[in-house]
Amino acid sequence: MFRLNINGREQRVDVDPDTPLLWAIREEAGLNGTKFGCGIAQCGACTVLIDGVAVRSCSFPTEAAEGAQITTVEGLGTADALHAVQQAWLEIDVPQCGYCQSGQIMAAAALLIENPTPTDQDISDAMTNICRCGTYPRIKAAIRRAAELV
Amino acid sequence: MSIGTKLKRRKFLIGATTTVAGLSLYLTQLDSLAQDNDTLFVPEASSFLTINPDGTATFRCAYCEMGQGVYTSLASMIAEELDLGLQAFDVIQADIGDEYKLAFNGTWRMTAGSSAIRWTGQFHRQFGATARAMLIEAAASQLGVPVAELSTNDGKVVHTESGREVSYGQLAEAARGIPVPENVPLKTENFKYIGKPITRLDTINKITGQTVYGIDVVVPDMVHAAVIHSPVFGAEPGEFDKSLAMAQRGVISVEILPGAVAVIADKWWQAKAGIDALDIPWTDHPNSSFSSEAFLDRASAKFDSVGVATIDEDSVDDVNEVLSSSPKQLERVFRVPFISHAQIEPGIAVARWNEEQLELWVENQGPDHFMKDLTPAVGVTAEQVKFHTPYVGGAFGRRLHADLAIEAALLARAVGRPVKVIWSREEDFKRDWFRPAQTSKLRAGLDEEGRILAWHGSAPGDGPGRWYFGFRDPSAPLDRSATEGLQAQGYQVPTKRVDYSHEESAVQCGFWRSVGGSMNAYFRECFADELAFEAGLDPVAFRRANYDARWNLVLDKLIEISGYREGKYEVAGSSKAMGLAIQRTFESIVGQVAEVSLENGAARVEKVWCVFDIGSPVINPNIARQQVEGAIVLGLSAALFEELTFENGVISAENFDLYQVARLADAPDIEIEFIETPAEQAGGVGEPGVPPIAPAIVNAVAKLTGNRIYELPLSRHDLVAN
Repeated sequence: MFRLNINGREQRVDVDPDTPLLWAIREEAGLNGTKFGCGIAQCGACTVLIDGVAVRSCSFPTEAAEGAQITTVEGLGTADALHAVQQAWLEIDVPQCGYCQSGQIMAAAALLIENPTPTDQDISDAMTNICRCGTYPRIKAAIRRAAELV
Repeated sequence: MSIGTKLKRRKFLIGATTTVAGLSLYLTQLDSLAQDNDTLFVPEASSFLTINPDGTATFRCAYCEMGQGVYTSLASMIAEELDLGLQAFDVIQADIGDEYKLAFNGTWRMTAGSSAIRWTGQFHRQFGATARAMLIEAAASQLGVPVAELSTNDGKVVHTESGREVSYGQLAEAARGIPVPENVPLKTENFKYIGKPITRLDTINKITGQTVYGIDVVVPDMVHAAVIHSPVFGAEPGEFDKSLAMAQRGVISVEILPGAVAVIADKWWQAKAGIDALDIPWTDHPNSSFSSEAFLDRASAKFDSVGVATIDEDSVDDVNEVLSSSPKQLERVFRVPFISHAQIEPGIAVARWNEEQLELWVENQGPDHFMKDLTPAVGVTAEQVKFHTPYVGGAFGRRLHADLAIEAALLARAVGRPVKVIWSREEDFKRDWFRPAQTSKLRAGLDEEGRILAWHGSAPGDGPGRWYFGFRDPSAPLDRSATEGLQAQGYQVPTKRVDYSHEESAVQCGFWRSVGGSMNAYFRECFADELAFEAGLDPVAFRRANYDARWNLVLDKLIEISGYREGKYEVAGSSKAMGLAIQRTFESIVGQVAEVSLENGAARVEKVWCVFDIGSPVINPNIARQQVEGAIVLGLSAALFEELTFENGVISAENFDLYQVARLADAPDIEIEFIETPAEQAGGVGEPGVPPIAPAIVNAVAKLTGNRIYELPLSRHDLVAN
């Protein structure tokens, strides 16, 4: 049994210690916004924030997340209270199929926490999440826009 | 304005739902019903559009939403004519049913071929306009006023004179028995949605993690399944110790599937751990000798055979004779590898049985097509199956196949509970329906002015045309998926032919965004640049000399927006070159210029200009741009990085560590211009942006290295500036 702080709420999850945090978030806490894409931390669809830092939760053991502040996309912002990154994403209409977008948004949020005025190179270096629909040009534009909104 | 469509006008009636006091607008074949105007009560599930008392509307769309924006586009077209606010629309994909076959005279329904708007857009507008006319008449009757005194305003019929209004949802009773008017005129001005860059309906949920994809579906009493498939196609699991999985926490059972083993558990991660605990031997199978390189080598031996079928494109004279007598001749051979859809949401399906009724929650690009495989594998007919289609986490052609639905149905039957199957990324790679590996030969003859006299393409291979439609039947007709896009197209050539011959692939072949175009544009347009060189002309002059008027307009526009220039040039100490390519796919003529530099032996695509001649007005410029941007990125990824090989029947990469794809750092700046002049055939938007990027890049690389490249991806080659 582990106590996880997800989006400001304490949850008890009954999983084995090495169960990836992704599956504790999805199958125990019932938060489906964080996605499964590859299981080996290559695609980034599973990106969450742990104490404000981007983490690929498919390759992070639940045990190691105890005591930390976990933020998922649901905790970043809602339709009534969008985070600046989400606001920029909406303005530029970034998502197509949308499946990778939770991870993209969380990675972008983490980037802006660490570096509020990223250059294009900073964006390219930080944003390694995969998008097969090819929304990269709009992600770049949305991060630049979000930096203005933050 | 008119949008080309192959749809015959459908007749439809307004009916009232029996369960909700709402208004259900549905589509049904009139000749299957009583010919009088009896009230027709239709179950809500078969309605096309249900307008609820609270003013919201549920639109059952014939197509699935896989990122291409069809939910928003088609809803917009209805909303425009119906005069109901787009924000009121909730769109879902319709269940299986003949009434949703909107294409090819009511016989066809498939989310494919970039066809939803060009084939059914007009129908959706007509539906909205006709429904509005009927609602006005219903209101006239309810309010006791003449139709001429009524207008509509965003979901309400309004009688300005008396200030009375009644919402569409309140007109159910009055709408009964109203005859369907014919030829209701469509709007010609004051468009709210059509032609406007409207934000997509699904964006807000997709940015807040609220969208329900297949992987997010929850059904009461559901259990989870993880699956492992044989490494070699056709092999079956041998004997193994199931207790190794059963000992894992949460595991309920171990099941055998055709060519696979499944572990059922309470949670998916537990099922996956169960699979990982097993040690499964696989039977021998002849496919264990399959090598993708040997497959292409065998195909190469068939360039000169006439083969299964021949395509004659209004050819004058015999192509071999004209070729051999041409002042100049050129022939080249190209190769591309198997590549993967690699859509970020892996395969999933949820199945639940209720006696003999099967309920599926599965991403699908056409439920009717699923039945051709579901019926023999599971034993159900269409009447027994209900399809729920979640939002699709990427498809690009992958979700045309029923394999996951079959696994879920078989497992749910075996287990006696609803089962959600999730494939790991490894299984998704192993059991993709790959864009086939292809090698093709192009031959052309030129006159002294550089005009093409004869054009011959030979495409021996295998493809989804046979795998999907031909049921692996050796007598099936030629596979057009291998030859489409290899023709002369915009080049005005009097003598031309494309041949297909079959070479068997042991691995299953599927439709990969733009299908034949995804490989044949590279062959065609790189060959064209070499023809230009052979003719002593630059690539632009060569195309100008051979194109018809429409293609020359695309070429001119492309040169104008890109500032296209020949040769290498320096910008800020970096050596660059531009390459150009124009390809027609699904009736859209798309030209692209890529500006490329070299870095560490690899091509770096800095900027892409695209001219997209769609042959009709663009319905939503925002969505259309999204599609073209995305298509360019996907095509670039394939050109630069993507390849799968098979050795001893086994795939070379099972995850993104070994299967390289484009990431944000690889994405160029993109500029797009649409040409919307109405053409005889309206073109599609979703796929035609893919094909030109590979040849545009390779044509640029040739200028930087001095070498032509005959095999993709570019990562196979060490690109060095000359």
